[in-house]
Amino acid sequence: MNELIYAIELTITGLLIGSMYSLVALGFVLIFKASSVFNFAQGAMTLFAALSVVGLFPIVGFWPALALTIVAMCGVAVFAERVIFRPLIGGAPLVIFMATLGLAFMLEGSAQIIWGTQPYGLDLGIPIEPIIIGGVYISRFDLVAAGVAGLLVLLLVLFFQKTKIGLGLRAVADDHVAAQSMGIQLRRVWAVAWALAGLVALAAGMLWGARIGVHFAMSLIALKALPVLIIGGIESVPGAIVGGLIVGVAEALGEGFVGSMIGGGVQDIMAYLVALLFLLFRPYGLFGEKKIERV
Amino acid sequence: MTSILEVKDIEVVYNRAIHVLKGVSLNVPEKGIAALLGGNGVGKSTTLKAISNLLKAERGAITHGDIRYKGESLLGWDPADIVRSGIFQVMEGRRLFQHLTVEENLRAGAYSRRVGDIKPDLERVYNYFPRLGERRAQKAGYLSGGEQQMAAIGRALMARPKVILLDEPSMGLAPILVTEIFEILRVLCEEENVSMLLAEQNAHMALSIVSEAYVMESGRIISQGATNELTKTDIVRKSYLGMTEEDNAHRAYRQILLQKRAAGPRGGTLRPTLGTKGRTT
Repeated sequence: MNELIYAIELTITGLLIGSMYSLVALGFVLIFKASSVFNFAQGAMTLFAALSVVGLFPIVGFWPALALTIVAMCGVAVFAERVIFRPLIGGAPLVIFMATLGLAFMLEGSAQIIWGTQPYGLDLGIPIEPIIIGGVYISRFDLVAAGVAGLLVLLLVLFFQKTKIGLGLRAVADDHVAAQSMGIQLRRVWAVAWALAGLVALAAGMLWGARIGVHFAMSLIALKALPVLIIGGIESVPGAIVGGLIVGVAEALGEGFVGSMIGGGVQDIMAYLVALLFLLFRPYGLFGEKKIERV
Repeated sequence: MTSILEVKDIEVVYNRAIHVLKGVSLNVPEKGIAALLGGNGVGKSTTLKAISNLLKAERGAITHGDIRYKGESLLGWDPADIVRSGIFQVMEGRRLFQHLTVEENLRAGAYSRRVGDIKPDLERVYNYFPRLGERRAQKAGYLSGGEQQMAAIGRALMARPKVILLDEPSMGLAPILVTEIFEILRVLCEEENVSMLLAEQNAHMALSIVSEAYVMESGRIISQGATNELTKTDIVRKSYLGMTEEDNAHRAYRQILLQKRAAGPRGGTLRPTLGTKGRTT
């Protein structure tokens, strides 16, 4: 019975943490869908956003800090579209990928110049005492984080389905030349995709920052997103969500049951093990878009 | 007849090296249809993309000449502005958004318009193409070839264009569907007051609905004129219509087959016909 409760507890914790992985992966999906570019700078954007919030927080207060950071992330988006995409349209995908790598270094560098290299703590004011439901302990923080992640995903889905620019984004994701031929402006759509990825990075950065502190290792969070993307499929929003949840649960259960037998450390490899299995048996990922081919 | 769109002696170079169009001039008559005929790779699509300014994604550029729409030069315009001004291209291979529904595809067609309500336009398209109405919630990738072409044309109508550029609407369609599509184009031209420029390999079908035609070969216009004059020219009859001394294209094709059989696999100097029923072999 204790085993069962333990397993339930681990699963719930895994799901909650997984939702935060989903959030990180979502940033990649947004840009990949709109422009077929793997944005290596997503981790750096997460770091940049989190550092801006914690850096501005003591100076101007929480909400202004948040607002200023949102403006900054939109600025990064416009900059990325101008400097990376506009000159490189029609170039090799690898060239654009390398350019995002360059953007990552620029973001990390400027963050370092502005805010320094010391780690910061971020207190969002969420009580630490867990909630206990039927003997199962659930972290209040993880619950709030998962709620925020879920809300953000819901807003994004509504944005994609109900707004004109959302339709433009999906059209560009499907066939950007055809989209251009009907007057959809690639530049604007790309800038919006980058801005959305920036906002997602901001949310992910704040939640992860509040959980583990804001420091430069945060940009490595991108590495957590890779297995999520492999599992879910890199061009799928639902894929990022489900992939994140799978990774979260796999990590929690792996650490809880297998880790205790062999002395821990299983958590860090679980995500990659699952991703490896998916690469073997389902290389498109769970929701990866296969080309529709009529026979 | 006055021209709504004039292409004046344009040259297009890809990658700063490959000279694709070597001076192409043509006129699209107001409220009429002009055809641009020619085989694969002669520069028909490039001509259309030059008009819509879609060459940049393929590293192409106009190096000489001018494109005038209602008397105004279009050179250097943003593709979106060209669409907004009333020129809409239906690209080769339909290029529907496969993962979007039929209705979303149509809505995307109206993207450049600033007005809010496009419901009447949707209804208008569903009136012309009832089958699209039945399948409005279906993903466009699952439509049949003919339905996809209809959706692509419907998508163009959503923008309320003045000129539609059509790149090989007959491609990959069964002959009966080709006839249907061309009939629709003719009706649209009359009822919606749009002008069209039709790039086609299927010269026989195209000439049945257009008033004037241009024949292209390796980046140049080699022959042009009103349709009835053009069908009399030898070069067009032989190369694109598959007509020989006899006027009946079908018989001519059978004649080729007979000649071929008589002369063995490499015999016969006549080229197989393009754009007639002979194409189905």
